[in-house]
Amino acid sequence: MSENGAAPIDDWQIMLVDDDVSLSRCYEIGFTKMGYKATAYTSPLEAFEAFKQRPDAFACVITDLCMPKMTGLELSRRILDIKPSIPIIMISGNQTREQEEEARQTGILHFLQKPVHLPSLSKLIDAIIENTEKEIKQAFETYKISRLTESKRKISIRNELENPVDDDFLSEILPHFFKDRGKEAEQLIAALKEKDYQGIHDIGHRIKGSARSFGYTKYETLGAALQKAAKDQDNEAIEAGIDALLNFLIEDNSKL
Amino acid sequence: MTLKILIAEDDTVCRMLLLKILQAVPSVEILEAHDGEEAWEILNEDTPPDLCIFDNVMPGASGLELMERMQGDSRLASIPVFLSSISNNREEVLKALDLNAAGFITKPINEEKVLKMIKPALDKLMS
Repeated sequence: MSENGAAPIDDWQIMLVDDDVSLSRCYEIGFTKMGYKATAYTSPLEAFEAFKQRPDAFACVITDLCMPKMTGLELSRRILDIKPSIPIIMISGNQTREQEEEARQTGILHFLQKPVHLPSLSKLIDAIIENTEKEIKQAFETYKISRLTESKRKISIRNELENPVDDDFLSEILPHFFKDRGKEAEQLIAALKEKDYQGIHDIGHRIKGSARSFGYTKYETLGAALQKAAKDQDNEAIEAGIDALLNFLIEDNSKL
Repeated sequence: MTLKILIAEDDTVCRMLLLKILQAVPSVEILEAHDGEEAWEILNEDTPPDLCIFDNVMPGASGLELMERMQGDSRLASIPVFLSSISNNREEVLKALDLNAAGFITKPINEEKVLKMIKPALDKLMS
């Protein structure tokens, strides 16, 4: 249940599990921003330990399928052994039909394809947690439509660059680029809370400069928009900038 | 003869880009600083660098601030400094020229542009 939902959010939290550090952090920031209490784990083993310690603290588990040491499927099996009623949402790049069938037999009923479209997810999560079958179905349909309509998923990062570097080097710099932007998303949220407009302006400048250095125009534009919003002390535009940054990061991290 | 080049840049990606371009230049040793203060520490070591590239906006001290400090130190005043920035802001350029900037590297950073800018200074130092 989001901030607008019926139940108080302090009662429970969402467990997020993805071995990709930047991605899991983006999920955590994104869900927290939507009003949920969420904790991200990059290690499925640690996630399982946390669940085992306090199974009632979690109302829902959202996990990646492919992870080293323990797959999302195995993690779900173990979690369901402890608490069979917990809803689990499996996120995957391209699971096969066999994997999906195996997951369903394990007791996982919900699947999302990468990249997740965070802004459309809140209603779906609420419905899944409340476990109202009709609403889940409707929410899934709405989610799928928003995700497809609002995202241009087919563009590769290379094709988005105006000043492309060679492929090997691009693969080397992109994880650093996304990691730094992930940290900045957190800093932006904190700065907005403090109304530190100079701080927001500086972060916008950093995003713009870093993106322009290799021609990643959409981040450059976003950095400039954040600078302007900070200068105008326009909280709404800053919020919109943070949301856009998180969405870019979730979408683009999945393309690595 | 090996020339030391100091790159002071707080952004990881920009630093990696400059590093990749300059590592391909023969007889060059690259020193990296992640902010203005780290750059200043390196400048104050026993053997200062032969050439510097500073980002203008960095925590600790900006590129222009570093140039100002260098001008006030006879040991460092003649080291050629290139200033990298997002755009050629008129005020920034004039101030940098006042401080004897050897050149400006505007982003996006590409190999041809950077080498064309820096090569004459490197050749002069080598001769």
